[in-house]
Amino acid sequence: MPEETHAVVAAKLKEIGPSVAVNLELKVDSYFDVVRGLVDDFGARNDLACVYITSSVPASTLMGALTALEVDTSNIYFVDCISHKLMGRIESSEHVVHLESPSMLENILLKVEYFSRLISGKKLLVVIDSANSLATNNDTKMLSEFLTILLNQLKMREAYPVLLSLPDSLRPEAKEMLNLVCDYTLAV
Amino acid sequence: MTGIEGLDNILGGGIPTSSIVLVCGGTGTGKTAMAVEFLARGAANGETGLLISDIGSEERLLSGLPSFTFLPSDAVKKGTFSVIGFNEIFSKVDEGTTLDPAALEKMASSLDKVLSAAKVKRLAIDGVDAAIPESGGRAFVGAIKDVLQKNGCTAFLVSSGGSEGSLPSAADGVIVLGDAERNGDFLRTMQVLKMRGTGHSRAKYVIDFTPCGMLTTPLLKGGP
Repeated sequence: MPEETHAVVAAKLKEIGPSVAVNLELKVDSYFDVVRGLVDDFGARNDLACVYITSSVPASTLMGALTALEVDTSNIYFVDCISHKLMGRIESSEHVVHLESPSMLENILLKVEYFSRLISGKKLLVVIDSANSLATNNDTKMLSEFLTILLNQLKMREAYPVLLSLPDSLRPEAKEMLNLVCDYTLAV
Repeated sequence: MTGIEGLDNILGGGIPTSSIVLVCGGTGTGKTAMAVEFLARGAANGETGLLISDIGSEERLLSGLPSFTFLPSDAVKKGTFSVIGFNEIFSKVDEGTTLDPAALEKMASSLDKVLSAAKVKRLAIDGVDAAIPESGGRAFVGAIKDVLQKNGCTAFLVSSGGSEGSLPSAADGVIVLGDAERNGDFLRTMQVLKMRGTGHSRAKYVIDFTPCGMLTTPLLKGGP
C-alpha cells in the first residue's frame, strides 16, 4: 500500500536535513495533507518550532483545520499576510501576527526574526505558503531578493526552510526564480 | 554600543560616548520608541537613563510602547530608568525668539545638576523642537555639549522636525525615521544621515518595534 502524503513529506524532509531550502511542489487536493505532514509528522515529532508564513489561507482557517485534525498547534507561530487583505477578523495573539499585505516583504523578514528570537532554544521549521500567492502579489525580482535573504538567513540558523508551490499555476519566470533560490525540489 | 542590535550594526559598532544624536521624523515613525529603547538597553546594562518629556509618568510612557522584555522590571524603582518633565530643565521659547546666553547657561546648569546627581549616562529629550527655536539649534547643542562630556553621557534629541537646519547641522549624529511608500504599502524606515566617529551605512532600512526591541532589515530594491 502506498504511503500517505503526510508521512512521505515528513520522511523526505528528515532525509534532506537542515539548512536546505526546499521547494515543495504539491497539488491543490493534497494541500491539508501536506501541511499536516509538515507541521505535525515532521515539525512536532522532531521537536521543532514552526513559523508558518501564510499568504494564501488565513491563520485562523489553518489553525481550525489543524485542530480538527488533532494536531498540536502550541509550537506553531503564524505570520498571517492575508487576513487584512480579505478584510477578515483580525485576532492577534502570542502565536499570530498580521501583516497588511503579502507585498510587505521586509515586514515578513522582521516578523520571522521576531518569532525566532521569541522561540530561541528550539530549531525552526519555516513554511512559506505559498510561492504562488507571493508571486501574484509581488514583482519577481523583488520576490527573488526577498527569498534569497530569508532562505539564507534560515540556512545560517540551521533551520528547515520549506516553500510550498503549485507548479501548474506558476508563471515561467516564477518557476525559474524558485529553481534559482531553492536547493532542492520535492514533488508530492 | 547602544544595545539596539540593528542600529549598532548599521553604525559599525555604536555611538561614541557623549555624542549628541538627533532622531527626527514625522508622527508615528517610532522616534519615542527608539529613544526609550536606547534608555532601556542602558538600564539593562546598569547605566542610568533619563527621559525629559511632557508625556507624564514612566508607567504612562511605557503603556504606549511595546513591552520591552529586556527592560529590568525594577528599573523605575531603582532609578535606572526615569522620566522628568520638560519644565524641570527647560523653559519653552516662542518661535522666532533667540536663546540668550543667560538662558542657555541656566539650562545647562540645571541639566548638569540632574545628570550628575543621578549619574545619568543616557539621556533622551523628547520634543526638543518644541523647546528651542529653529534658529537656536546650534547654540543649544553648544550649551549642553560640555555638560554631556563632563558627565560621560550620550544624548538622543527627539524632534518631529526635518533633517535640515541648525540643530541637525550641529548634532554629532542624525537618524531619520520615516515611511517608505511602495504600491500603497507603508514601511517604517530608518536612515543614518551622519554619525561622527563611525563608518556607518547610509542605506535605508525597514524597522519594526517588537517586545524584543527594534528589528531592522535592508529595504529591498527589486534588482538592478
